[in-house]
Amino acid sequence: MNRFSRREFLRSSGVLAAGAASAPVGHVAAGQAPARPMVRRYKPLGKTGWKVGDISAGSGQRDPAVLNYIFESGINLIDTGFQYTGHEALIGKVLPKWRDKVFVLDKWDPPLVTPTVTKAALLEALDVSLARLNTTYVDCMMIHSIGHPRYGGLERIQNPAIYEAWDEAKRRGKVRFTGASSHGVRMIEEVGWGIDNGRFDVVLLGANFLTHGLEPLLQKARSKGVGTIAMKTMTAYKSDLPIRELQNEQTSARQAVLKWVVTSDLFDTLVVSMRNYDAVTEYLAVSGATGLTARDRRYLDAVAAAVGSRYCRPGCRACHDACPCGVPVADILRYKMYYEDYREEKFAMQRYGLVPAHVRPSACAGCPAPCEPACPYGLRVRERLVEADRQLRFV
Amino acid sequence: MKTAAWFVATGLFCAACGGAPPVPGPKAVDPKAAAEGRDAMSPPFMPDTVSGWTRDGTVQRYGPGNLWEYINGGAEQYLAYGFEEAAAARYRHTRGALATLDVYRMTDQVGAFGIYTEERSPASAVLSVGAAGSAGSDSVRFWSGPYYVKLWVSPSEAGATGLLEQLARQVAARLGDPGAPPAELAYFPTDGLAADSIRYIPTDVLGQSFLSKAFQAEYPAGTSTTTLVILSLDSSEVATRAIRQYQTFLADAGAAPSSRAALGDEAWLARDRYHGLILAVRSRSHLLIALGAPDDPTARALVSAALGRLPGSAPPSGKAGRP
Repeated sequence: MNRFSRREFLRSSGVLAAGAASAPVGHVAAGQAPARPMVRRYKPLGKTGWKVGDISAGSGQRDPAVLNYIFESGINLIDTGFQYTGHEALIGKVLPKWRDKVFVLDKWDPPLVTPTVTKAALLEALDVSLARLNTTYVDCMMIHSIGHPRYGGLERIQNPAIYEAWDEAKRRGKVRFTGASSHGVRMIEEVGWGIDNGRFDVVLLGANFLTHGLEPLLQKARSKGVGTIAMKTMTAYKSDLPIRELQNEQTSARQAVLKWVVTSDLFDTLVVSMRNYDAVTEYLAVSGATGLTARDRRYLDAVAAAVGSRYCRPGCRACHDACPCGVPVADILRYKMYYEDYREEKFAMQRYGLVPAHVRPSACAGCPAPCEPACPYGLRVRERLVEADRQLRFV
Repeated sequence: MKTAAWFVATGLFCAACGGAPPVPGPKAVDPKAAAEGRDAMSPPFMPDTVSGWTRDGTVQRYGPGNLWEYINGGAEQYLAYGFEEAAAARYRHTRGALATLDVYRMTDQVGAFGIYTEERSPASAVLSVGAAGSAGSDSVRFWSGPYYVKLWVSPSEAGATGLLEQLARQVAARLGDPGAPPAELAYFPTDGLAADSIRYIPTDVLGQSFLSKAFQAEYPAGTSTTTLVILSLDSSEVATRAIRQYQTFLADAGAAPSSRAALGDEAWLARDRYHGLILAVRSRSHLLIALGAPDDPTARALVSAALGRLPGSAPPSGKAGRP
């Protein structure tokens, strides 16, 4: 991956400052090479009329100066939410300066949106977010984390109060577009419901190079003019994941992971956490990429080889009903992941303790394992379930 | 409460919630706890009933790997502050109010102070609970030792905050010694200090990946606000490297630091388009950075006052005092 050096990048940012007042921020003239890492490609965000940069900002900033820097770099969509500790308020410190240049994507607090929440409560929460953001409107207000069993099922997002609140907020000019975010196991069903029923203008979905199976959903969104944004792009490969083949090449590997989304025609943009200037530089180096190089593919292959057979993909529930004995396969594999990857032995065992004894995988060893062909990613499901039972039971 | 006590409580809770075989060690039923009317199976700071509140459902537990399931989008911030474990439960009051109680255990009390100050609303009122607390229209937050606690009701039940305070005090009493505010708070001059403006920044201070573990406070005056950032690093050598790296960053960005500032062991002034005037000073292993001051003398006066409050400094003159 071709990268600007930090020194070159920062020097050029000083140059930019001199011309910032007269140049339209975030747009590079045709045929002109950018003087610093900047957004190099803009795409329509569904039918919203917004041309969004192919790299967008998630949360993680602690200094408003970093937000100014992000927006000066041509990033023109920021993803935030009521539950993003202090992030709405931080954006509010700089947003007045950027209000018509940045698309603000906000979300209600997930526990607020229940099957019985009222329109008034939702509008009240919207007002709290607007006050924090120091603005009179958000560009897109989303239901946060649909398709996640923790917050409820379809009955949650079928609550008419949500749509009455959205309609009223639009009439009052407080919301321009609406949508939902998801990386839960019922992502496909619930996001699909919202798209089919014309409820969503934009969707924000957990997706990365290891996820497959979302394509029909994304194509449906595309065909209906719904904007598509990828998140959780980096969860498959975090910088602290020790992969020997990628030693000293972690930056390029992370960039390859982002590039997979940037070069996909199924997404309008991606959001990624940008905590500091270095992260902005690293991620923007990917903007404008049109294809994966052989080297990129090698990086992705190395990550896939290291985590692919253990990584339960966002939105996948292929194994959900595959066990004739009712073993909650996906849940148990997730507890195993907590145990092994996050070193949360106590917590994983506690969760496993909640699984009723008659549906634990204690008899899996002698089973023909119909769960294995159900997994589209080739996870050695039976073996992992047996291991999980050994690791996670108390005695 | 000490960490060991947390784990004892957790072990008891595990045995209860899962229907799993008994855990060796503590007895499943604590007669003393039963006599006190609390459920030995739950963490002691989440009693079954207290002050008219009754726990509604089981206690949910979260660790670093799945905190996002609970605070989707906010987990990263908690992890940066040293999050280790959380317990969450709902409580219903005899008057009908339904509250959520979260208790987050951080690595240390600086982390608890940090996440508390990060989440505290500027509009909230000071509440004397734990080491420090605040109350908003529908919520109460406080920190105590390594714990950060928040309780809230839905906005439509905002009148129930008095009841929330009662619950908060009961939780605080069960968390043990609240501890003292971080010693670094005393480094900030009190003259002109905005109330409740001191924060702890664990990483990416000023957007720099090489600056971490800073305390930051604001000094408003007229139309401008000066931000003072203080970092206590491991050694003078580490502090020297850090201040020079920041100097290089600004020089590369065209901010042209100059060494006109004769303060501490090493100092310079710069001006960038984000913060305005920047005065950076190293004194032994400490870095002090004043940003956005209206003029050079204001920045110098603030940093000088802070230098006098650092450990091992001569007693400061004038208006120094513990915040």
